[in-house]
Formats: sequence, structure tokens, C-alpha cells
Amino acid sequence: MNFRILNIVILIFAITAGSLAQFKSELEIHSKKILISCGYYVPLFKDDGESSKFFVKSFYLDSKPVSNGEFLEFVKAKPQWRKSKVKRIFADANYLRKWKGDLQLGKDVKAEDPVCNVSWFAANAYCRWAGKRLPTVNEWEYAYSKNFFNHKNELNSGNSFYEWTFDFNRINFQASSVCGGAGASANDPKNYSAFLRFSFRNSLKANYCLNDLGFSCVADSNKIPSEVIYSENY
Amino acid sequence: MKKYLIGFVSVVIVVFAVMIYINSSNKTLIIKKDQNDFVQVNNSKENDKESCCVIELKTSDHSENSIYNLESIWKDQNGNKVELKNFVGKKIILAMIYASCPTVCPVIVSNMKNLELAIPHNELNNYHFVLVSIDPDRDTPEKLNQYAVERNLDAKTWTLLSGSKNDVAELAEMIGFNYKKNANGTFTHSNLITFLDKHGMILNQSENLNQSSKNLLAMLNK
Repeated sequence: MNFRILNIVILIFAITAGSLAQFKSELEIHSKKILISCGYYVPLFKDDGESSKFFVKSFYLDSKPVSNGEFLEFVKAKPQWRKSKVKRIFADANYLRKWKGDLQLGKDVKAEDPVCNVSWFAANAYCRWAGKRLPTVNEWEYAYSKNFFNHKNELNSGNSFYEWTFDFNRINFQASSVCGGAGASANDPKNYSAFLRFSFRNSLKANYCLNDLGFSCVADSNKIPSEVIYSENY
Repeated sequence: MKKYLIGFVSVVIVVFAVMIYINSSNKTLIIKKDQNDFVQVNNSKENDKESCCVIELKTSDHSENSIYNLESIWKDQNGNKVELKNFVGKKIILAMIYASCPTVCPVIVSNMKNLELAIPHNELNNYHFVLVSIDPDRDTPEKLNQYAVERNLDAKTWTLLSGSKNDVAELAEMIGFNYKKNANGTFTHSNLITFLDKHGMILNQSENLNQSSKNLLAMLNK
């Protein structure tokens, strides 16, 4: 009789542990959303005839970059984005390079780690599938300036990690074609890491899939609908 | 002992059932949370699911690098729904412009019109001219129709498309067209005419505003 009771106790323990583990892995794989309240953002580059401050409307930002586990759910639902099926015009040959197969991550790829080797097209399609969108450069830089991207350092142990933005190559695409020209029009020439991000973005093409390039999604805040960003003369 | 074994097995079965239940209820919880947050988008998710398979069948014939792999749905100047793959079979001369563009776009459109005139009339049926608006907020089908009428663009050979901001961005990325909206409502943008073959592959691109129609025709028939 005691043996039976012991069995039951062990099994109850197993249930609790199992469900807790399940809950924990859900927490690790899925991000929460953070409300980034509206405010002013001074972009790195000045534009002639434009104000140097942008008003960024409130939006929700993923608490961490989209994980391999989350992206796996996406490719399960959208077969055209699987590793073997994606068209080259949407993603180059490095697409999901570290994954073992269409629906297998493989030993070295953790479900909770940020997905990388994804193109702009894939990142954009994921966010839309998830009911969100890619952040604009202004939104991303604004959130970064407010220190909402601290989590990235933990995840990448010192390696640089970049993220796709919706309009990654639209900012300052004229100045970037002139060597050194970009620096002259920068609002804060000392902001070296921002320079790196802007020049990196300018070097990208939308079907590139790189090792240290992932993405986070954002969603419009219901509190203030309509357009997300507009420039503000002041 | 046998009795204990049966008891043990039945308990294991119950435990599995409970774990599966917990698993599924966990997932529904998360889905519900999403639904609350993004009510509008869930609808589009469902639409996507319905349309994905049909589109996949259609695009499977296209090449890996054809811009007709884009599944976006546009509106022409008459308000009709158009998919880019509807242009399969014709050589396409495509430019991204906006109707209120003061200086550069009229030059691009006029270059395209000169090219149209340079094509022998009996061959015109093999070509189609497409203007895609980068200003979906203002360029409604009505506005684009007015634009076509003002510039005498024949609807048989010219299609003016408007679409969502996302679809415009995707097409722009595909053909390497850069654009950015300025605070005063104008756009800074590339000067680009793109030539597509019958399958939607990029044949050639012209970035030169002073291109003669003879040169453009040579690029088109490369």
C-alpha cells in the first residue's frame, strides 16, 4: 500500500515539474511586450530643411528578439518560409543556416536564443504573421536610446548583434554614397555605435541573411492610433 | 504485485492526459492573449491561411528570382485588383513614382512615353508600362486615373498601381529602389526605370534621367 502511495506522490511531483518546465520554456521562448512611451528622438543624421527632432508615438516592443522557437512556429504555419522552400529573391543561401532542417533546430541551436540568418523579407513576414510589424529605424533607435535593448548583451556575450528595421536603407541613403559625407551631417558625431549601426544598415540588401542579424517586432499602441511617427517642427 | 502494476499504469495514463491538457491549455491561453492584443491582425492571419496555398501553386512556376514571387494585391487606376504576376508574358517597363512629385517623376514618365513611341506599333502588345505609387496615402486609384488622363497614358499599355505601405516597401527592396518621405510631404527617391522580362526577372535598370529612347529600347531588348 505504501508503495502505491509513494508512486502517486512521485507522479504528482512529475506532473508539477512537467507543467512548470513547460511554462518556463514558454516564458523563455516567447517574449513579452514592453510599452515604449512616446517622446522625442534626435536622429543621428540631419536632413536639410527638416527639423532635427522626431516625435515617436507610443508603441509596444518585444521584450527580446524573436527566438528560434518562435520562428519555428512561423515556418510551421507558413511553408513558403521553410529553409528548403524559400525563394532566393526573399532570402540568400545563408537563410537559417544553423538550423538542421525545415522544422528541426538541431543540437547547437537553442529555441530560446534569438533567430539569426533571416532576411528582411522573412523578418517582415514573421512580424506581419504575428500581428505586429518591424520597427522603423527611428523607433528602434529611440527605444535603444531609452535603454530598452539591454537584454541583447546577455544573449550574445559580447558579440555585436544587429536587428532589421522596416526602413533599414532609407535613412540618409544619399549622404552614405559620399565617402565621409555622412559624418558631416551627423547630429552627434561622437556616437560611434550609432555610426556603426547606420553604416551596417546601409550595407544590407533585403535578402541578406547574416549571422549576427536578427529582429524584434513592434506593435502600435492602441492608446494613440494612426501614424506612428511624424516629424515635429518646434 | 500485478494489482500494483495495473494501478501504476493507470496512474501513468491519467498523468499523461493531465500533462497534455496542461500543455494545450497553456497554448490556448497564449493565443487568447494575442487575440486580445491584436484583434485586427488575427483576421488577416486567417485570410493568409486561406490564400497561402492557392498563391503557392501559382508561384511555383516562377523562377527563384522573379519579382512575381511577391504575393501582394494592388489596385490599378480603375480600382481593379491586380497581382504582379498578372503581367506574366509581357515585357514590363516599371517605375516607382508619386503623383504630386514636382520634378523628377514627370521626367521619368516622359522618358517612358518616349520609349513607348519608339516601340513599333504592331509590337506594342508585347510590352506593358507600369507605374507604382510610393505615396499610398494620397495616390488613390482615382488620383492615379486622373494622373493617367492628364498625361495621356493609354490604359491598354499603362497600369498605375497603388498598394499598402508594406507592399510598396517590399517591391522597392526587390528592385533596389530607395525612397524616404520628407517632412514637407515630398519624397527623396531613386531615379529608376526597371525592365522586366516575360517572367518578371530584372533585365536591366536605367538610373540616368537623360537617357534617349533609343538607349532605353536597347536596354529593354537586351
